[in-house]
Amino acid sequence: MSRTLPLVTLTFREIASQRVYRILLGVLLLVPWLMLIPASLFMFDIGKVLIDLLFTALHASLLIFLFFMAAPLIARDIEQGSCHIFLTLPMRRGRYLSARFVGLIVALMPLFAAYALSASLTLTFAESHWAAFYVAPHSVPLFDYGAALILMPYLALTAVLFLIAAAATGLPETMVFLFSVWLLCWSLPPVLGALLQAEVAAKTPTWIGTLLQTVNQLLPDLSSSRISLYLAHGKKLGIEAVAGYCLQHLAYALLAMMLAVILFKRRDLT
Amino acid sequence: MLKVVELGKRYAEHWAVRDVHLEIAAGEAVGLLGANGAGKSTLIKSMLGLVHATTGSAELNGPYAYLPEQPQLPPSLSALSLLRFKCRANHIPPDQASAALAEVRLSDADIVRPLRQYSKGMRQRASLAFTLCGDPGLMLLDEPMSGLDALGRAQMLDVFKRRKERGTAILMSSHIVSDMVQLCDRVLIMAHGRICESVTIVDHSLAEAKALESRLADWTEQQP
Repeated sequence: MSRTLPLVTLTFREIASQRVYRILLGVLLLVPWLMLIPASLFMFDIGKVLIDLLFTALHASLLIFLFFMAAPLIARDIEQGSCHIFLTLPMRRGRYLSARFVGLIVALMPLFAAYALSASLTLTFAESHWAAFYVAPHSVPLFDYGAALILMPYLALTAVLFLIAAAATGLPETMVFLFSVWLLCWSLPPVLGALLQAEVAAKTPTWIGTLLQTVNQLLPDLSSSRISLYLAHGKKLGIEAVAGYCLQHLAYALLAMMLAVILFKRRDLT
Repeated sequence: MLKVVELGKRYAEHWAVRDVHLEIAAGEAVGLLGANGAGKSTLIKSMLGLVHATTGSAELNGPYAYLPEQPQLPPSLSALSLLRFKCRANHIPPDQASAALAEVRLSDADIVRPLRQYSKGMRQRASLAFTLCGDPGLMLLDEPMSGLDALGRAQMLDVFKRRKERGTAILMSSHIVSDMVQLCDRVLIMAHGRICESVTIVDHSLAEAKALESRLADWTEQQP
């Protein structure tokens, strides 16, 4: 444990000292205010559109962090041998991966906090200035709640990144597989969800229905689309739904990290 | 400090390292001399567990440090912050970070700059400082003079000699015979994954270096 915390801190510093991190931080403070421009064009229900846009921008920011900051760090570590200096401290491979993972999540937090703060201010501004164009109530805590829930799939995706990097030969391979996983787990679950709705399922042959059901159960849903949709429309989420959602993503993350450690332990670090 | 028994590493049908037996005592410097592809780096990585040995085992006693052949240091960090990390991780007094950086002749202004701004030689010095920090009892150095100019090589040899006199065991791989002869008590010639010959260095002379070069060429040209 004694070496884990210093590596968590080092990982945070390694990410935070990059210029791109500081630029992203600045951009995240600015983006919510820019979202007021397209939102103001939809005069029927500005609040809903604004929250939709803010959630979309949050997804984009988290993906930028994952693909352009987290993936290069861990892929370079393993491919180019930066991990050798940490592993020969000495440090167990599992602890090394865990420390890097936690360090990356810690590095993500200031970005998320900056965005949430700026978005909350933007929402407050919009609500006070354009109250006449609001249909559904859109409170700031509702947005923050949704944003925090949107973080969950990215926690799982970061763990998937570690799983891929533990076996991949380098950054290009890591990026290709990570992108594929993201695309698959992002785009397919909402489609499957639509296909499994009662009225569609009634017209689907039984074996196809069973197949769709099986794929739907096995495939992680990393889109968080339902959460975003519910919150953007001001609907309430039951505590069971939220707990299930969080547990599901934490389970994905845990499973992916466990597999990553197993693969990484077996790997020759040439 | 180091005991290696029957160590071997096989990739598919090819033995990169085979049947290596080796012991290094405190204060002893041993050189691993071999042409490119002889198996020097694989042997060191197998000892450290970075590469999983197919046969045999390696026992490293006490604190050790490793200098990789082409060290890739985190580019956005400074040398000082990297060494301070090692101090925190290994419970080493923090002043040893500055001491190690001074030992490799990196200036106070340089040690706070990001490593991406370093020249190749400076990066090598920073890596050496990371290895030296904490006064390890055993140092495994893979091509430690890589990227250093003649003056830098001489300075680093002095550093290694001082550490050796203080009781540090050193295993150094290289294909530069002159460096090895100056530092080492014995040199192990590696070819085709095997240690072919152990040569004791007597007077650290140029003649000994030339004789070693000749022996290396003989072993390398032989069929595996």
